[in-house]
Amino acid sequence: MNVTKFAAVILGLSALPALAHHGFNMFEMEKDVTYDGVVLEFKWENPHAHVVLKVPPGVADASTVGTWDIEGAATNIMSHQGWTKATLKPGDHIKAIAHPMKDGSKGAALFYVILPDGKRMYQDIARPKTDESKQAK
Amino acid sequence: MKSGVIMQIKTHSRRAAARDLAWRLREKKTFGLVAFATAILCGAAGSAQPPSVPDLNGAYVLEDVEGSGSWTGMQTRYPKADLLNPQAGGPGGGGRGGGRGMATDGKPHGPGETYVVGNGGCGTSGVPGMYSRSAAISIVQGKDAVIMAAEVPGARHIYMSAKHPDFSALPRSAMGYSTGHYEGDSLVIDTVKLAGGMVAGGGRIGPDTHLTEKYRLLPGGKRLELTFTWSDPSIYRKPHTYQMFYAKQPADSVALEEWCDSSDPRQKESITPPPQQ
Repeated sequence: MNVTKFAAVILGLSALPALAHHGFNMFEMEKDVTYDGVVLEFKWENPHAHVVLKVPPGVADASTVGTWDIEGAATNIMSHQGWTKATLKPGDHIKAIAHPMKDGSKGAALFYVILPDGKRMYQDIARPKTDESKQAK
Repeated sequence: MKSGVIMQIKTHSRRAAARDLAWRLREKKTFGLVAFATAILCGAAGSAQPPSVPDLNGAYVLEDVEGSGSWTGMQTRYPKADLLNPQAGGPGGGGRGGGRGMATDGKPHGPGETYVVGNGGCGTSGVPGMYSRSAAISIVQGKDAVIMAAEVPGARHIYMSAKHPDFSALPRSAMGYSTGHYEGDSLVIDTVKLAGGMVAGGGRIGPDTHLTEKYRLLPGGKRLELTFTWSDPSIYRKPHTYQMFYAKQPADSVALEEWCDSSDPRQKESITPPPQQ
């Protein structure tokens, strides 16, 4: 890779927000996928919270069947969006709207979840462009 | 003899009474003059109220005001900087975290195999980077200084009086050096000597770049409007201006730490594909 292309790559990367320790290049950030399943584990920890979610066969989107690691933000960021360590617990049936991995691995970056009572919990400050109720089915 | 003493006592008493009366009259006169002067001064002062200081104390979280849906989307709402010299200065370098090593190895990973997705850096985002993050920013106003501390590494010290170091002798830094003052309902901050950082709309930061920020609590007291203006004739054809909006956090919200340990391998971790059940 010559110098010009290298510089272009660096400039392109730096157009993204400066995050202390993490990038999102490995996720399809413009794609929202609904993972409809059961919480196996909710890790309320730093640097990222994680939801391990099992999506059973028979769901609308067959590509989401399986067990997923869905990554959230740091706990301080999620706290300001209303999350606590008790927000999710094993056995909760939720819908997680997330951005899948580009390489097809069973991982995704969380956008928001829909709790059993229908409440939406965003992992960060980003909000959807359109009516939320029309996005997640 | 006795009558003489009595006469002296009476005389003394009359003189004392006279002195007392004179003193009382002088007191009243003095009091009257003071009262009159006070009234004049208060009247004059009433027509020129001391400047009020807007209360910006509190914690604030950046808003995705247009529902962009993503960090990338949020960046597209800012006006493009009108650059005289696109090669001048640089978009990064001030914040020591981020902007480097974000790419993965591009290979698929199996169950239990953790990805290394970042450089694990824990440096401050600096200015303006700290304002583009979703960690809350706390503003603490003092008489001689305003402190802005984000829930990420680093804090800003804004000098509010003439008592500040000679900035010309200091090196460029992630936070730069800032002075501030109040204009009506706004806190206005001037910052110089920023080392670099991401500027919304593709702006750049050079050695002589000057940043002016204006903080204003919007009516209702629940949203903060922050206006950035970047000036540098060697980089910008015209000052580059944009706004960000922040939601004020409840008074009982807790300022949480941003845990970050560069020496911890987990700092670089992201997804660990779980065993399939």
